[in-house]
Amino acid sequence: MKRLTGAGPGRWLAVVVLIVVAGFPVYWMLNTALATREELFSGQSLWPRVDRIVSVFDVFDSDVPLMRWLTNSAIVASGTTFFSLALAVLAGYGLSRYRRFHGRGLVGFALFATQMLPEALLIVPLYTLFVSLGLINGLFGLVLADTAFAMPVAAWIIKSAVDGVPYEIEEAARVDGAPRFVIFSQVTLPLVAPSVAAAAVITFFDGWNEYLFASTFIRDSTKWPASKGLSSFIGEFITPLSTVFSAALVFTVPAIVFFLLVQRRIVSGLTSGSVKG
Amino acid sequence: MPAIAFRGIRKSYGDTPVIHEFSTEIPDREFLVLLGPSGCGKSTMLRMIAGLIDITGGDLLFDGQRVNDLEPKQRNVAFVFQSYALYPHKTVRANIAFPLLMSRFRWWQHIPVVGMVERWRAMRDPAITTRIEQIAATMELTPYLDRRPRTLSGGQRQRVALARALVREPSIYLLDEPLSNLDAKLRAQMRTEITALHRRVGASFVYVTHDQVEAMTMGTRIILLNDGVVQQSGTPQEVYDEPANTFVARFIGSPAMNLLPVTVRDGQAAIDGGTTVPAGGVPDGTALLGVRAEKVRVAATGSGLPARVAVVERLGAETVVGFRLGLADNSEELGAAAMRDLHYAKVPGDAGLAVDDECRVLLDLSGACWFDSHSGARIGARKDGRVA
Amino acid sequence: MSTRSRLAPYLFVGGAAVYLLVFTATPLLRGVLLSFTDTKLLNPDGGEYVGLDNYHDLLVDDRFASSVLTTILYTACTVAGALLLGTAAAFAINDGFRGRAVVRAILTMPWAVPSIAVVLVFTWIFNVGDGVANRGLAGLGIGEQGWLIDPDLGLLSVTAVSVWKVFPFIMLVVLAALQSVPAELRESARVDGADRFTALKEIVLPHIAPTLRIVALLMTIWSLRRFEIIYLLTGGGPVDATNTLVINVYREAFANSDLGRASALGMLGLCLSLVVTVVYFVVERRSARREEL
Repeated sequence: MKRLTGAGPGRWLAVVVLIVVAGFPVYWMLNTALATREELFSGQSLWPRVDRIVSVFDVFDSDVPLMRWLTNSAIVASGTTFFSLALAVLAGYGLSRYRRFHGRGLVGFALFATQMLPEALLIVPLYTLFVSLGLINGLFGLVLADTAFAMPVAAWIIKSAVDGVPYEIEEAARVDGAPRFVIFSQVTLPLVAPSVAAAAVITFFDGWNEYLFASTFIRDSTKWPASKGLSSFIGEFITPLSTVFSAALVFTVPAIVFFLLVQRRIVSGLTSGSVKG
Repeated sequence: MPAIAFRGIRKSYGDTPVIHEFSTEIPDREFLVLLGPSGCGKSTMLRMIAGLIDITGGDLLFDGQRVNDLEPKQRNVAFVFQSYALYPHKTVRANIAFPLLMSRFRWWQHIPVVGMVERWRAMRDPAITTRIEQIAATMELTPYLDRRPRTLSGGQRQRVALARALVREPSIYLLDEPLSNLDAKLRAQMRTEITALHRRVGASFVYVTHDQVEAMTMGTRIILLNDGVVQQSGTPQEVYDEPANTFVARFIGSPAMNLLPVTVRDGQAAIDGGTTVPAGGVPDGTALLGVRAEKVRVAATGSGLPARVAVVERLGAETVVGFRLGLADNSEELGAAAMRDLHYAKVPGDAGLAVDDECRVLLDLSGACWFDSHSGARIGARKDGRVA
Repeated sequence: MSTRSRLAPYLFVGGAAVYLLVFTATPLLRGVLLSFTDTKLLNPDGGEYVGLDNYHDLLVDDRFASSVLTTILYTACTVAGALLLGTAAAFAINDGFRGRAVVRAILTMPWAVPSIAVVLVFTWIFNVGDGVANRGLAGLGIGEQGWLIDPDLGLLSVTAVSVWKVFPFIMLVVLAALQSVPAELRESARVDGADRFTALKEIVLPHIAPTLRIVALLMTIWSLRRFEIIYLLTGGGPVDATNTLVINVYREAFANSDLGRASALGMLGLCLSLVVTVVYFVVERRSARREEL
């Protein structure tokens, strides 16, 4: 919309301020990662020593078990994505195409309500449940816990997407003799592939970033995902800050890159159907 | 090629009826048209025949066999959708092949890898590939086989939809307003193509439309619906010459049949202004006299009912003149009120009349119909079970 | 209809339904039950029934009241701040200009950065001795602040970090809504003689109002749920300044080892979420009705 809000110097100022506000912390992460200990505590420079950019990767040679942390994070994220999407794709289709069966309202409500529940609320009973199931201290248990919260979001996105597929195409497939599951997998699913991809990305990041369950359920430090591992630096003064932030950067950059690639789809996936107009 | 029989068919959603009970028999190889205004239930009826919607009551029989509980695939029907409903992510070839692949489907193909392998093999089976190429040639789609639907024009997509129906050699073809998304010229062309297809394939066609021109030109039998109630079932000529009620009379034919309110006494009907015409067999009281526009003659002078011209539509070969009986001036009202009491005459060539002229109207009463002014039913209509 | 098609909906939805039953519904129920016991962390299966003792203790506890207050304060400020900042950002970048894609990418970054990294960097920024925040203040002549360890500034700091993390989402959603304002609407307003501000007020704002309401609800729910950022920045301190309900639940369970009390706390927190949602729906229905007139 051209000229919706005044163009002009006021707006440019706002943009600059916003860029500084939004970008500064990440910039600072980079800056700190590249500084030496002396520099940091004798007045950290505002400008990063870009010539030392390669030193970020020294973190892999340090005592920090970053690779193991990242591997654990990747396992948790992948597992969560796999289980969540498997369930969500089926549930989203079912909720979209079947409007009248016993319990539909309940399931729909449950999926919606779970998105509202704070994990911290369920952490206590989930903890006791997992203890009794023997799932404590294992990455698989973590995957199961994350899936419980990530799956409803994915199901919602997919349901909205399936709502947008014209029903006549499925009727045509039915007349052509396709059984229901074939209609689902060969006709409808390919048509909502972008939304499935967006849901997969969101779920992957839920698993990648998740902290609460990771820190509560995993006792063994070798099984820590990076989210928990990085948190161990808080309040500890042994590891040099540059190493800490190098590790943080390695954890963050993939997230930023992927996020920027799909952010438009995520927003439309989250708001489609819920926003008028 | 089955005949279709409707025995007491009706459809309700909960307590709301959408199709009221009716029965009829359609012989084999008919081109049956389900005609009616939007929302009359014709698409619902088509989907009931297809098996996409449940039938609430009554029996549907194909060739004497009850099909109510059969899935569409088991009924051996093909459906052409208004929006064509092509699979957007598949090529034209894959679209046409899909019904063939599904006819070979076995339950173990649900397993992902097995299914994919089977599909791959099927697409290389000469039986399938030759059939696809045959159909593509028939529908003039050969150059487009490897394109996706979104790169095709409306007419081409229409043909892909027809090809997908043809490829299965069904016993009944069901078409849901297939021409409504096409422009006028293309529509006329596709009308001829579909009629030719019907002749060639020799199967029963059931065709849904709201356009009475399509119905009259393509159908061998028309079922006219309004609000879920079948108004009449008959051949195009029957529906035109012997409409069962005022709805049918005004829906069929362009312009709509003129309905003149009359008062009948002792076999004489008095039209507005005192002129009487013979009305044999019509009971005393008010009634409606139905005369088609082409049976009405208008002239600037001469004998006949006085009237004032309100509308003149010149079509070249003929002219449609809209008039009001009596010599009152044309009113200045807008909207629906402007259409009140308007009657039409269709005369060959130029009528030589302009708006607001006085004229004289002559009615040719051969083939005229008389309607009950309360129920709208035609007086003297046959009660042979073909009318609801 | 064949039996297979009658079973179909259950086959599709069943997996997710069972999963939720096991991992969400049952724990929720268990949580309710736990709240009526005195279960301890080290003995999760033991624990005696104590009726409403936990609830009673909480409702008379000042700390509980203050944590409710903290939660409401934190939520209100975060939602308000994020709405303002996000909407302002959306308006600022709404019109096309060269490099807009890059600007938008930069403004989206806070949302993309994982919370743990956010915590690390802001802990460093707010570091009292060497953090850049205090060094900046020193440059302006203001004395150094405690930020995260100052009871008066703790909540503000945590709120600021939350707003920073979350505003891109609002920006993106409002941006999408702004760009869906039909051109014809604005053109007809111009023809009718409206100036830019009137057009804004009469055309744009009503059009994006439903979007803003939804986003406000989402923000509220997310704020009520937020754990990681607050816990890792301040742990609920200093002196309970940032002790929101969810933080409180966690501390009761894992620091004080009192699972029963923690569950009761959780249930009360859930009531708060429910109240918020009900309020939202009531407001939404009333606004929708008003808009229809």
